[in-house]
Amino acid sequence: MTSTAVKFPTFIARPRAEHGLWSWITTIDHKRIGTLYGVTAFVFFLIGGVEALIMRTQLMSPENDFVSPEVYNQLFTMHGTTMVFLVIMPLSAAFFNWLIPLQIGARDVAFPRLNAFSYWLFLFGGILLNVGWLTGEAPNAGWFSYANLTEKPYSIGHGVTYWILGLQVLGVASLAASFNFIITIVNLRAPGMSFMKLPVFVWMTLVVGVLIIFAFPIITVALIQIQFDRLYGLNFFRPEAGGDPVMWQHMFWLFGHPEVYILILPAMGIVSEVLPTFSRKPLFGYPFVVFAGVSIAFMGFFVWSHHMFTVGLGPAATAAFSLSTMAIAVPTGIKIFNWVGTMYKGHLRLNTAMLFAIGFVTMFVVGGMSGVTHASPPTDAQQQDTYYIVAHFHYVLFGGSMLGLFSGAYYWWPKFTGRFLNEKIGQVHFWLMLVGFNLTFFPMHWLGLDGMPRRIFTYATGMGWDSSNYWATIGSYLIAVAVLVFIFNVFYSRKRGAVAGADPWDGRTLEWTIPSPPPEYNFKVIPHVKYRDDFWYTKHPELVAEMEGHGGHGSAGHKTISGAADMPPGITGEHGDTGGHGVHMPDKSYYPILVAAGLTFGVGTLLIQEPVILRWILPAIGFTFAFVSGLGWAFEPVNEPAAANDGH
Amino acid sequence: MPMRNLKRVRPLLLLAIFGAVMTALAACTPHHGQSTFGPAGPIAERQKDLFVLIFWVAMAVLVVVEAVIIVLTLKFRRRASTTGVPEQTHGNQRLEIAWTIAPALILAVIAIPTVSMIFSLDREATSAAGNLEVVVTGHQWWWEVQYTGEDVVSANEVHIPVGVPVRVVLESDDVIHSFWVPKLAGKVDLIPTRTNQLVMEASEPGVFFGQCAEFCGEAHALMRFRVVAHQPDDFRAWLDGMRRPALAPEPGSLAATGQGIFAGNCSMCHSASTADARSARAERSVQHTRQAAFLADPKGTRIISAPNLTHLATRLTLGAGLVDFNEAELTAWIKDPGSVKPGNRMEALAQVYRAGGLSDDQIKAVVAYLMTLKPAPPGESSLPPAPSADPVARGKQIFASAGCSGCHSTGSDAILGPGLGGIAQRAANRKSGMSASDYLHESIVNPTAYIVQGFSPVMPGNFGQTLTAADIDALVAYLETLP
Repeated sequence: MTSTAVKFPTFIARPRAEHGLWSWITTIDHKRIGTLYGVTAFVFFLIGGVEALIMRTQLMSPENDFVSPEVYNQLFTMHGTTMVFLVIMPLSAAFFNWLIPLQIGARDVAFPRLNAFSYWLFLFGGILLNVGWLTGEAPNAGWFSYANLTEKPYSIGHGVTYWILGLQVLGVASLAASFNFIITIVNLRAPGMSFMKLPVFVWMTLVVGVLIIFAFPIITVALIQIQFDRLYGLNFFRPEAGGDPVMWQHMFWLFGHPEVYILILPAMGIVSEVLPTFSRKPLFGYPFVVFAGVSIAFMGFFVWSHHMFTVGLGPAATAAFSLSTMAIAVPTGIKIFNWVGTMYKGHLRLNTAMLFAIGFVTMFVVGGMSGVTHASPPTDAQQQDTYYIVAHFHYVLFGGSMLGLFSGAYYWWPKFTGRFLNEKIGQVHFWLMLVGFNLTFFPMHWLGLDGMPRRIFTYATGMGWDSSNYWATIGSYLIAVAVLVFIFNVFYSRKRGAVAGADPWDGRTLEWTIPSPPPEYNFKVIPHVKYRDDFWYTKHPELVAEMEGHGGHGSAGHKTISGAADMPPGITGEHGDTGGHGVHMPDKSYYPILVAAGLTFGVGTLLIQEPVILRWILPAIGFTFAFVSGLGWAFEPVNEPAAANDGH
Repeated sequence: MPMRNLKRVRPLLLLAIFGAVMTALAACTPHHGQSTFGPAGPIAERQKDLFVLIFWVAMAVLVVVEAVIIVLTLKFRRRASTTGVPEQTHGNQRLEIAWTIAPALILAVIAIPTVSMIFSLDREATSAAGNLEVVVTGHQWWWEVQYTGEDVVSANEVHIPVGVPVRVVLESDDVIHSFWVPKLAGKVDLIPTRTNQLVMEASEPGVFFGQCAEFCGEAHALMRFRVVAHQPDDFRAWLDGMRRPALAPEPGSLAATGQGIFAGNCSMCHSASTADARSARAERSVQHTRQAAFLADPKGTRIISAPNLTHLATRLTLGAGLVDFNEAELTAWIKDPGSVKPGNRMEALAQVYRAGGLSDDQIKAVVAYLMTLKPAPPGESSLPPAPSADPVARGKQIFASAGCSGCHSTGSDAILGPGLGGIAQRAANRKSGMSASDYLHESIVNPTAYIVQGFSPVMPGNFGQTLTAADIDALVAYLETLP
């Protein structure tokens, strides 16, 4: 393992810290990285939330001057960009990190250092995006930053450049993480865990990974083009030089619509775990839920132009995209019906996690139905770019994704920390958030149909929009209170939360078979999986016969796999019934953060144009640093020879 | 027990209230300025009708699904008495097929009228050109309005006749905008490099609110406009009025002083006299030239395309649908445009603001002049004052009114273009073999033929079209007299 012929000079000693700041900076443990993702994304959630509150305060009354138009434009740009790229995606990543190895019976992800690298790039990219707040030039062209408003004559400052470079860095982070999770899921499944026995959350993670891998390169190319336009005077999107601003829209939404599913599928995966557990029933129509998820992902690449119905693409293209958009409602509906089927005749335990999951379904349906109304271009012509759209996507992304993520937080908190979040405070959190959410966003349907465009920093008196805006603002404050309640719950439960055992919910999947919080190596013994929801049937052997009688599981699923050839490779090349001895976890490493820092520095300094000498030298320093660190990484053994025998 | 019953119905009650509120709102506010529920013409009406169809289909599905979820939640919630494991159902293939096909059928109900309306609206937009075609060009943050074949130019106000579908051709000179008059038709974007179209129609005379719907930069929220629908005869009368020049201010009056100030400080960006067909036709290329100057030097330029002010005094609003048009608002605007419309580029770019702005007396004069900008009554001579017989006097008039004085001083000061004091001597030696008057003539008709060192090629190239040959000769004669 460690006997490589080539030696790369070691500049820095292998980190050894087990506690404190350095242990977090050098960690490659998927659970700690998951925590880092979760905490960082939650901080960004608070930042994005404050941005939203300032906007809502500005819109509370007509002709208000709480903030200037310039600041307002920066606020809505950063609110959208933050919530999409720095909150929902990394919060999902926090769950992927924590749960994928646990749910598939693995000791870590396939590439632990690459995993740490993804996190640090995400953190640095997020900071780069937000640097503009400190310089007074935050990005200000909207989260989809339509060309040619983003071109130099119309956006002279650095704002849009921060946006481009920040997203570019975040894109690398997302791609690296996606490859990692896809490879982890495909290769590190416990013996016997065939694809059709995967927990649905794992399935949705796999689908999201594939979506990211196909969608992000498109935005990467578009960002490079606009970056070259802005920094080096090229003309991809500049009409006065023959460029085409509509090309940006096609590229952005060809990425952007799959992105919507990247944001919602993880929450759908979470809900597909929570509902069965608290209904004490298997997920209704498992293969259909999985297949619907896969179809949504596939069809998600064929609907992008429904964001562009008012662009004037011509009636044929408009009609085609209208039909494909309506078609995507079918698999979405299948998921909802199956969740409802799961609840039917279950023993529903209405705790906070379950309430959030049911809240997800109910709110997501509202968002889905308003979505159907603007799948029709003639009616969308009245809705596009209005508050009706703002209402729609908040029902999907807040009422959907965020409620789903909160459900997951309450559900897996005992596994992550060993303690429950307080149930009573949790219920207060849920109801406040549900009421606040509806009070904020339901009136926006009305505002949009009453003609209020989105992205306006003010509106005239006498348009009839005053009271709806007023109540929406009150609602947003309620959401803020709900978030504070959640934060209180987290701190309250840190010490005072009830201690949870390994399996507090009578769970169904592998993560509940190991202690809470799990040891660094997760599984003493890599489990052998016989059934979907294997742990449930271990606990309820009397149900096995009934389950096997049901055709849904497929005959291949019944075979106990014991042959070594069927076993996926473990992380350290060894696994199996070792009784926990000889489990070698890879050592910590400085290189992921160093490469990430070098890359971010190199990309970030591209925006410095004056003096000309710095224009080349600073990025060169960053990229060289990243490259050299990358070499160090490449030649760094998984375990230091001296440490190889330490074991755990 | 009553508590429990209350709990049981509360969610249903909430849902019912939501539905009722939604319906009530829909029924109550079609009078709101931009309500899509108060269509004022057949196009918006059909779009609303399609929405209402989809709304009820979606609402039916929504209510059923939500009700099922809430009822299941309440009915199957775990009680103290609940024990054991519920029946383990894994799925039901028939049910799955049913709830795959049912939504597809429901969607077909929506899809068929949708597709048919997409094609019919497109056809109607094209054929509406036979009635009337309005070309709207988007600018940050105002609307340029032209009437195809009518030689009429305006800004921020679209006048249409009632009862006929009108084709609106949509273009942009800078970034993407979106033209939206909720009561008349759904929106379509204005995109540089493209020509889009929409069809709109008003059933009754009235004034309708419009607003830019695609984020277009700092003052996007303030890029509004009005559509004014007239009876057909009134519309013809309005068009005729737009083609009658304003009466020239009385010599020596405050307005006449204002006209001079306007010519010297405002006219390089704002055309104010495009009532005649020739200058109306040239307006587009003049605006292009201004925009090109801005694009060449976004920070340093002193000119940019700006709203046409012809017959400004007849407009309903100021600042692109922002405030009512009246003397007080106009004064406030000229004094400090940024306070009325944050983000607009007048203060940042115009030389006069960079130099500290106009004095109160000057503002009063400019306002007095702008308030005279309305069509001369049809009875009176609507022609501008008879051209002076003396070419030099005629040239002086043109120098002030055609926009020359906006960029050129008559002394040695450089504004945007070189100062023209003593130009006769310099012109004679500029190009060998070319007389002073030939050189001046060439410089007016083809400004890029010779660019004086230190200046940019930003002078409009269309004076050969907007001025008659006699005008240009008079202008040259006047310039040659400058000491």
